[in-house]
Amino acid sequence: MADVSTEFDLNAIAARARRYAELFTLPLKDRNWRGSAGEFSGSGVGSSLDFQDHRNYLPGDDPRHINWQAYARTGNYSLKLYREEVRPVVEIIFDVSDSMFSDPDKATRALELFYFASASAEKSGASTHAYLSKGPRWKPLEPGTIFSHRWEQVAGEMPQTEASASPNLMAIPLRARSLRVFISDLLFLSDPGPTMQALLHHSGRGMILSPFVREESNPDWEGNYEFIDTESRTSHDRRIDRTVLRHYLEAYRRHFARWKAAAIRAQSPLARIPSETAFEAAINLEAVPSGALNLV
Amino acid sequence: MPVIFANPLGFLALLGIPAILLIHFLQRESRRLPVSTLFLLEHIDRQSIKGRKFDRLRSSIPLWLQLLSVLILTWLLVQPRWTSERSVQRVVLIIDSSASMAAFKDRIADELTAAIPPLTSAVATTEYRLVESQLRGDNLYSGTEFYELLTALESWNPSDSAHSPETALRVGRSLAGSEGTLIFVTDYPRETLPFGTAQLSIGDAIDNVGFAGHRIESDGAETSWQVTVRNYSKNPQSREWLLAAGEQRTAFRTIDLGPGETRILKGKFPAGAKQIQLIIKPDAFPLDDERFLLIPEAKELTVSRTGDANIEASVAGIIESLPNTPQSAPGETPDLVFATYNPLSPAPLPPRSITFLNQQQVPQAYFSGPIVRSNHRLMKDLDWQGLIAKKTAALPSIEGQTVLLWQGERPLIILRRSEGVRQLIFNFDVLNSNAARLPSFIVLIHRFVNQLRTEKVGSESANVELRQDLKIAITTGEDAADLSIKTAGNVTGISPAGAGSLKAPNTPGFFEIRQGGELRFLGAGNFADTREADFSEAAPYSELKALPAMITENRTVNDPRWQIWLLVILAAILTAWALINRSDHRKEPGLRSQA
Repeated sequence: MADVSTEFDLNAIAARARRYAELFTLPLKDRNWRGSAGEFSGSGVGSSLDFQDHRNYLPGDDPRHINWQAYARTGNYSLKLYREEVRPVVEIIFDVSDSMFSDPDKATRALELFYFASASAEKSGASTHAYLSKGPRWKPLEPGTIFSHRWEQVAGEMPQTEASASPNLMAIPLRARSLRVFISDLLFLSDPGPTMQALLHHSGRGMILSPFVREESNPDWEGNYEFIDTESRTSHDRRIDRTVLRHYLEAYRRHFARWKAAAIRAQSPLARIPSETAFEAAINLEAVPSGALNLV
Repeated sequence: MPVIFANPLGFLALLGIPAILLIHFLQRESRRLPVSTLFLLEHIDRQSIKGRKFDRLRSSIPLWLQLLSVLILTWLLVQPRWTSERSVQRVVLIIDSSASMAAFKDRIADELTAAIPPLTSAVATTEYRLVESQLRGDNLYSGTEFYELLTALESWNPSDSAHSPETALRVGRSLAGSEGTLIFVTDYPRETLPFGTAQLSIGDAIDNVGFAGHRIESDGAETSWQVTVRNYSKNPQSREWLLAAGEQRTAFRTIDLGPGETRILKGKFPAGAKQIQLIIKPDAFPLDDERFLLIPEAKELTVSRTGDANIEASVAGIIESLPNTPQSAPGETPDLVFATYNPLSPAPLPPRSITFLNQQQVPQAYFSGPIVRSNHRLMKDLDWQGLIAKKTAALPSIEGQTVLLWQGERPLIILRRSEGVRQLIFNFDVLNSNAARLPSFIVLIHRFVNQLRTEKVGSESANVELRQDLKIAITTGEDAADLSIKTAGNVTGISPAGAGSLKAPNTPGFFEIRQGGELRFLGAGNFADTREADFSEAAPYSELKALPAMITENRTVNDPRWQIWLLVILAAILTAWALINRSDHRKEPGLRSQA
């Protein structure tokens, strides 16, 4: 991975991301979560003001919750149950493979998304956990390492991977019923199925934010090129003409079509975020319509 | 307006077009490009593996901008200039008519063909004038056709002696005008010429050997000849020569000459031969390779003596010193009378006479006073200061006479010229003076006799130089016959009125001048100007190379928009560079970060 801290002004990006968090938010309100007490509806019974159900009193229940009005009417001890309010768990998986940083615009957009997801989760009071993924390897981030930018050191210590190596999200001990935000360009060869499955593992909810640049999606290559793989650093001589370019564009389109289809099947929104446009416009383009992010 | 290109070599810039196309055809050098989607390329067309050397020519803005730049650059480099269809240029060629040019006559047409047409490319019409460099030189050609000028040169034979071309060049400048072109065609470079004259020297330091002079001597019985042969070059030379008299010729003999050496050949005229010809095998300069000699014979002048016996001895001596002056026959009117005049018994003087005062009773006193010579051509360079004569009575003065010599108030020598009268009168007692011992005395008599001889209509023969002025007395009047000049090659007729400007032919050889069949002059013309035979300073040189550009600049206007074209080139190059650069930068993102 490139030396992100010298190439990019992480403080400025983080500051921008906090501002973006004022505009957009992670989709935490549209379902129930599990976790410690917090501000979001839990899947269990809690002490919030939201009435949920009645049940008969059982020994061991807190007598303070006995519904005395019902007892007066029926003579049976019953309890009034209220919805639990929890802090949802947000787990951010940031793909730090070199392809994410092959283009300055793309790298900036990827960093903006990473910091935005962190800021948004933090702002919503969710319990945030972050992981760095590079090919099949991953590393958890200690709390506080994101906005102190120490994550960049952790990423730098991760070993080089093979070209287009696939992530192994199943290996990450994701918490049950958490929101899994996977920030990746998805430029690896493996089938999307395992990745989507990992995002849904343990009743979790997944979403993918995928930054991309026009140089990948619609390049204007023509002539001879010595392509350098951004991850393996290997050199590949290619001569690109219109036919080859057309085939490439077709392959690119099919690649992401597979991912889209897998995301739909998994009911996990996948939003491709262009890197050349402004952040707000890029988010509004696909992330908001797909439900990957919500407007505040 | 017709357009011309001042620098046709500028069209070489068009080679940039195929060069640019070739560069665009050639497979471009691979550009390094970091990519993250290489796995997508792995599974598609294997043609993408690099292989072909030639790329397909792509129509791109940089390509067209580069081609446009080459075209505009070519346009600027060829220096287009516009000329008016009505523009006329005058080219005046002053050609050196000195004899040395004969050695290079064959080169002139080629040299002019190479040098002149480039001068005329910038104008629609060129007026040519071809004039000889001699002050009274011929106007060889005047017109607008260059090939006619060359044709005129074919029949031109340079034979003048060495001369300054300055006057002819100044006349040439006035003919050419201030904007015309004046060219001096010669055989050796001159250091100084009038301003605005372009030299074209076509000469070369050739090795020339030739006759440099001759001498004819006669002792009455035999006539001998003597010629000098000179090697003008800096190298030893060997030549063969022979002597011809009529149809007879000697065998060739060899003469070896060191650098600059002069040798004398001498011999006698063959018996009965009055004309001989000495021939050296010809070299590049043929004018001095032949020497035509004849035994000179002055015009006959008959004389008689009417003087007294005491002066007869002196008169006889004078007559003996005069060539071809026989005694007139009885009853014949002599051409010249040597007469005496006694002032004490005056008598009329013969109309054509040399008269000596003979008082017989000689006084003792001498003339006194300064001796003053008149400015008359008969008296030129004659010194009379040593004359001592006795004071005798004087001849009566008549109106119109010319006094050639004075002493004090006394006219000592008198010349009387009028219709039919030619009298030279020594108005002092010659016998009792020292006049006979003064060279001026006999020289004056010879000059006077020569005048009479020149005026006499008759025949004579002489060895002369080429184009030498000939003074030939002819019969004049309405019935006078025309003159004819006959040389080895042709016969030329001249009216009697043109006899005053007769010249010897301009090519060596025998010639004769007749009037109505009567021989007036038999001559042998020879090249005699040895300065023209020396080619040590001859060298090729041309100042014409700069003229086409000057003429083009003066006679045409350049493209007034050249600054705009220059800016367009700069803009096209910068735009093409920027486009290529931008494309390269866009195609190589991340290289910096990779570095």
